[in-house]
Amino acid sequence: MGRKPYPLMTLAEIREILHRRAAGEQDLLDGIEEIDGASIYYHTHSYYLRGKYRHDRYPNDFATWVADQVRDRVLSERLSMVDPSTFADVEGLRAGLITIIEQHLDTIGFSPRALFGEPFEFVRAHIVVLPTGVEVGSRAELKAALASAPPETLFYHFFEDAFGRGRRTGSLVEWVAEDLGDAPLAAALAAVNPYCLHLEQLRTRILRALDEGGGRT
Amino acid sequence: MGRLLDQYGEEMLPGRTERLERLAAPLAGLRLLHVNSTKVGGGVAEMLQRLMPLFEDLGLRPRWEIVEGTPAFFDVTKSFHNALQGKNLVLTAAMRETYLAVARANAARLDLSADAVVIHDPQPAPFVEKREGPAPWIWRCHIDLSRPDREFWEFLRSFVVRYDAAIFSLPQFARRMAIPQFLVWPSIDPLSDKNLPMAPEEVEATLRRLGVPADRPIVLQVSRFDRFKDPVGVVKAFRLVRRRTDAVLVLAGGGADDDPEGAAVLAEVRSAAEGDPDIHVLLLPPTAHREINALQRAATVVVQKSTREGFGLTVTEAMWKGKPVVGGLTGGIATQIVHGLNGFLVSSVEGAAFRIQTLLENPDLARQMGEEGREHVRRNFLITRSVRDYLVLLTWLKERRR
Repeated sequence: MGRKPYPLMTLAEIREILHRRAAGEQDLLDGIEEIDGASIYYHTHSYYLRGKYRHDRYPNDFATWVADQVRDRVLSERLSMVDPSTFADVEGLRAGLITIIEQHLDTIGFSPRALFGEPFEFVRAHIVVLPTGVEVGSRAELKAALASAPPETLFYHFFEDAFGRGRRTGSLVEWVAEDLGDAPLAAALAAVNPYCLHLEQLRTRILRALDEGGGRT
Repeated sequence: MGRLLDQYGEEMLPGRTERLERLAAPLAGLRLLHVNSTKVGGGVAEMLQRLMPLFEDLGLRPRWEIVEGTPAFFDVTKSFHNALQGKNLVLTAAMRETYLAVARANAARLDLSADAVVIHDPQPAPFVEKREGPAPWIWRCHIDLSRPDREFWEFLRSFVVRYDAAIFSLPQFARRMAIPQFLVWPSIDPLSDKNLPMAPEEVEATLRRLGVPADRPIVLQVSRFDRFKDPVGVVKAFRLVRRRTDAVLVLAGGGADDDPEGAAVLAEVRSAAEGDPDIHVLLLPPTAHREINALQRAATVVVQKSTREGFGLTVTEAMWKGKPVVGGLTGGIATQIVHGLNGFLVSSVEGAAFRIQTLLENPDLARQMGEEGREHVRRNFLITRSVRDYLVLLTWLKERRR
């Protein structure tokens, strides 16, 4: 067929301590304004990598800290609805977070603090990307591989290789469109929003797209 | 005999062994030197005993050396340990001399040639003076430096800043320095006596031997008799619980012979528990791993009601045994307990009582939280994750040098 096989990847990370901490919402705002973009990325994405959490947990570290440590339900709810997929890149995401916290602080007129809780610690991750040793050359192979792929593989292809590199979709979707020549399937995969879900639900959605999306099998 | 790595593979999520192998492949043959202060006793030595064969299984060439010290040297480093964790002590010129003389003599005696060097804790920190060549040097700090005595820290810091990187167990334990600092959570060894699966008969026999009834719900706290672990607060919480719910309380902890404050706390606990046949205060030797294992397996609810805590590996151990944990909202406990998922975080005696009672009265919830806890540990706090962290850091340091 002459198709170039696509290598599935996985990743491993180590976290770097940045010595920036926040004891209250104003500190959190200042930190988000000034911290390295990799830290914004980490605190809005690592939730997905850390495993299966319940639906009542907030999907980013900022919302979770405000809920658990500051105990400000209003701000935590607002932060929980920040969807990285609606921003072009991490700087846009940073600006979105800043707007939400600024508006909240303007409205309430003071900065709630984690009086009985732990401060927020900014960290960032360094990621090593590794081949899984699995290469796929067809839609059926892709489906079989993703059905049993470790969660880090899903994270790499649908978060790290996409938003993590400042683009809408990762190279897997490009490969489906260009090498596999299946534009409808590529569109169906691109339409899956990974941020609404945890990784096992993401796997289910992707497998459904592979079953239903596009016309070829 | 198969590889030790494969025995751990049975405890890890699918695909984790392969990922470690892929991560290690570019590091094959790397001479990795670890240096600490002892080969036996203490959490660091226990961890290194297991890490060495795992690194070997992954194709690295690990080596482990120790500092040979005099009693005077270890007295000084014990002062370092205490002062760096907040005790107010004086660092005399004689202490500096003893420390440096022994550390430098060891650095001269030992073969420090390697492709990467990991120095654990303050005892061998000055070894970095002898570094040669491009091999990265990493300082692995296992203690809490959040409130160090300034004089001791400034002295130690003069060595630490000469490393390429440092590793801490929690962000709040680290100090601001010009070298990159990494977060590596501690981990537990699922194949150690403290964590290995145990037959119900052995659990029951152990309870009988310790005088703990096996036919009633058990609320357990395992920890040193230390004020920060708040054992008296646990007794108070238990008394609130027992007004409505049947249970026994077990407070199991290490000896307090060489620790006057520990002895005082133990006396307070015994006084608080006096005359109550449902409260069992057990003083266990440091080698009582199987007893701790049995108690954790027999427990209905495990408590770690600390008001200040390091990482809190007793929480990890309990979760690994499928137990829901009620823990104080502090240090590493807050990292491990996802409130409402695998346990509860509490900030008061009443909060602890409420959550303990909730779990005692809802066995299904307790079981479900216990299962979540075990999976949380499987993903995040097994020793193989420490191996992974080292491999990622070594890869990062290697790539940075290019």
